[in-house]
Amino acid sequence: MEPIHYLVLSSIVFSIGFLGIFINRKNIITILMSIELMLLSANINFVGFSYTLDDLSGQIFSLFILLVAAAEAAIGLAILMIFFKKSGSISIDKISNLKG
Amino acid sequence: MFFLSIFLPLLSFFICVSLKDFFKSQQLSFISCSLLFMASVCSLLSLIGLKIEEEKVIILGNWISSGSLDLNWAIQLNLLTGSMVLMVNFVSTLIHIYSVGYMNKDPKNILFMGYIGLFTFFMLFLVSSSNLVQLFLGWEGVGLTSYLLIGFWNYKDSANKAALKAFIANRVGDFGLLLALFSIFIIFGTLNINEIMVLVNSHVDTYFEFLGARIHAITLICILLFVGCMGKSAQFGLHVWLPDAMEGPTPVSALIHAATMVTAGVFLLIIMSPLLEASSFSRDFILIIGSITCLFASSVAIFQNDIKRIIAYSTCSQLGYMFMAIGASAYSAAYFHLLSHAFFKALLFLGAGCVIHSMSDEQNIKKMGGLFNKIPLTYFTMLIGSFSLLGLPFFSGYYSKDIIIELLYLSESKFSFYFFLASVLGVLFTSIYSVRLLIYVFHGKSNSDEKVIAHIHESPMIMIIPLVILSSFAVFFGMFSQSFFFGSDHLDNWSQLMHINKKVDEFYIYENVPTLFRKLPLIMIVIGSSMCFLLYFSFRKSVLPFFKVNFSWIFSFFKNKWYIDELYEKLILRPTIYLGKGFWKSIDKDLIDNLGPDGISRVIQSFSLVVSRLQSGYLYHYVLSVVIGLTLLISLYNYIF
Amino acid sequence: MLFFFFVFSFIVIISSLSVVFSSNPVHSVLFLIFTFFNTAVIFLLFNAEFLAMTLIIVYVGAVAVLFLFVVMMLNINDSLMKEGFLKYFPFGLLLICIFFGELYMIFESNVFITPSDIRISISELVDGGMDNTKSIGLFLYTDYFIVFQISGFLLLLAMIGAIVLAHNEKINTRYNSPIDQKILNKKDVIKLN
Repeated sequence: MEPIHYLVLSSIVFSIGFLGIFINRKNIITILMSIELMLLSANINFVGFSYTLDDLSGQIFSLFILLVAAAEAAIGLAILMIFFKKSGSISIDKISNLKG
Repeated sequence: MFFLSIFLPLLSFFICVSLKDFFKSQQLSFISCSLLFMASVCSLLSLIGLKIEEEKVIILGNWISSGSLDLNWAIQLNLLTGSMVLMVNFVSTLIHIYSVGYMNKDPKNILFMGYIGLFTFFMLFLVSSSNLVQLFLGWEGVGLTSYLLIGFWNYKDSANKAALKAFIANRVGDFGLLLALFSIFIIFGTLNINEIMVLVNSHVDTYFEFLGARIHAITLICILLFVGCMGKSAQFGLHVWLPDAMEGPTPVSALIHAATMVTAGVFLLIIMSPLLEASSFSRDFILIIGSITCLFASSVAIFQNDIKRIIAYSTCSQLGYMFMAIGASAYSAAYFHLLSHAFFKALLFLGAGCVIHSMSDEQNIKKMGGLFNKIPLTYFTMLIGSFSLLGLPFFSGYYSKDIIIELLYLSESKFSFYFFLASVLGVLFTSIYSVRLLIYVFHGKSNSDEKVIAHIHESPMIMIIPLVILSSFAVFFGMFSQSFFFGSDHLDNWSQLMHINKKVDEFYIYENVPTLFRKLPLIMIVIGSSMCFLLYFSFRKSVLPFFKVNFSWIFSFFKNKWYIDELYEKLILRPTIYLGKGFWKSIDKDLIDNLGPDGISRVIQSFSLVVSRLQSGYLYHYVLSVVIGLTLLISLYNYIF
Repeated sequence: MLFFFFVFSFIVIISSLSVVFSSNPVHSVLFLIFTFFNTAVIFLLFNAEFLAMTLIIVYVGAVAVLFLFVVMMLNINDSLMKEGFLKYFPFGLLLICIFFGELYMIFESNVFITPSDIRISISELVDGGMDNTKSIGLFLYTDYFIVFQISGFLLLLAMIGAIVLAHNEKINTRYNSPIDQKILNKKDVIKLN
């Protein structure tokens, strides 16, 4: 397995995550899942390079990424719950408090 | 010892200001007076312990060390500074004691004592400094305390105005002094007074080149120094603040505006005397300004009605005499007159304070009269002060003033005779206003309300005792210390400290001044006082109204102080106000504000209104911009590698 | 080996596309779980057994289930979910294609694939008789000890944060706000003698 293989795989997964964030205008949960996909693509890269370069630190870093992703998912979902409680919807179109 | 005599007044200030809420005012007044008394004793002891030609410099620490400028905190003890410090401490002690009685009813009296202590410290600091920057610090310090004390009764609008006027007029002079210090540093490379004195002879021919003009450096320095002295010593042109400064409490007028601070200019010129000797033009200039001041102030004093203003103008004219003496190179005579003037003028002011006190704060002499048997002690001391001021024989003013007049006759200046005449005329005016003051206040019939008359009383002993002490000095100081300032035996003592003119010698004067001219001041006194007596007692009904009707312009001219204040208002204040308004409107508001802060804020506001539209608040817009940015970054990367 | 990699890569791509495009959030979550499973297989192909297992346990066991819970709790009206989808899709696809194309250009140049000098060599560890889990544990508890502790703290923080955020303040409890006590006026209070 050459680097080009997993690099392409991870970049495709990353692009799909990006696309998911971009085209989903009604659903925050899907956006959170897209973020998980993007983090996963980073993990793939780390593990792939760890294999190619014969270096264990890639896997250790990947472990930390998993950890951060879990924390982020937990917090994100909690925020999502509150938001839903307050506004009764999870549509991104409704969230524009940052408008200048 | 000498250190203590300078810093004890500062201690008094700190005690008064910091402890005024914790102790009774009597206790603090007592502490303050006793500290000042200790300071006087210390300065007396240090002066006694000083050998005649000895000079001690006590270095307290380094102050500024920058490049070739190296200044120390140092106090210098020699015959000149020692005697000046003794005089200041002595007068200040008496005035502290007097103030305890005078300010008795005032709620802020402890603060007042503290301010006087602070003033005394700054004055001593000025006098004893060994370099000009330290002197300048003291100079500004006395200006500051003068401001504080003139405006002490700050609930009075006029007091605040007078304080501001004094401060601003002094700023003009101080600017001159600062320029003088700068040019001294440029020419001599040092600001230490003793070093400057040594270097004078090597810089006599130095010139400043400015816009093609060649200016004699030392003359320029002397003129600038004199401008500083004009401000502080109220010489003609910058004198306007002194009469108004009488808004302050009377002890302040006695201490600051008669005895000590206003003589600082004279003192400065005395210690810089070798510089003045190198420039005859500046001495002539000083002579001219001094004689104008002398004539102006004494002539205006004749027409004033406020008892304190009369004495203030008198101070002004006496300072004119001192500067005339300096212009005639008679520095020791100027110093002698400075000391004796301090005593009798403080005496006069304190006496006036007693009169005001007993008249229930009435200052107009037209509303007084017939007081001589009601307040005999005050009358007696005022009489002594006035005689000393007039220069009646055997009073101290006689010795100091007459010698100045005689030396003016002998001076090298081309117009020495005119200056002599001016000074004699000044004596005439002095006698007129002094006698007029005494007659109006103490003689004739009373012109005040019955209520006030019923309340007339002699001041308490705490106010009378300083008067008595001062009057003994006003009588005997001249007689006993004359030989210390004049006469060939003692002149050598001073020669290290100031330039000594060999003409300052009794025998020289005796031989070279004609007898008629020596007697002329006395004749003038007799003429002036007899004129006054005649006008008041014999021709009061006939002559005075005739003059008032037919020559009213003369009266109003003198009453309005030669219209100097009005002239300043027309020439300087109005144009400044118009100019300021114009600049404010056209330049500041329209040009700078409009293009500067306001313009920039307007641009930023409109720009950020545009930019804020980019901030839509929708997540996908942000994501879109992230993706676009990332794409552009990667294309840049591809382009480079 | 390569064949298996291609097969599972293909499944990963397809299932992740389904995560993004499926209209039902529950389906999305299930596809996400499927993606994670397949990625775990790819990790196995890269000899990262411990990470593969962690991915399944952490993601599938915890995170994805959490997603599932939330989706079910929120009761979302999914008919509106894909509104305006076609409007943005072509532009997004174009942008993403450009993005991917540029990435691919970089991958072809191979400029950044150089081994580090201070690496932890896996092959040496395997020769020394260490398996994957053991060697990760060895370095996680020695060289990366402080980072490991900090990450534990981060997890604790996330837990507390989630609890605080999702905590339901009950209305009928006898709770008195300190601010209300502070701004209370003396004369507004009923006095009991």
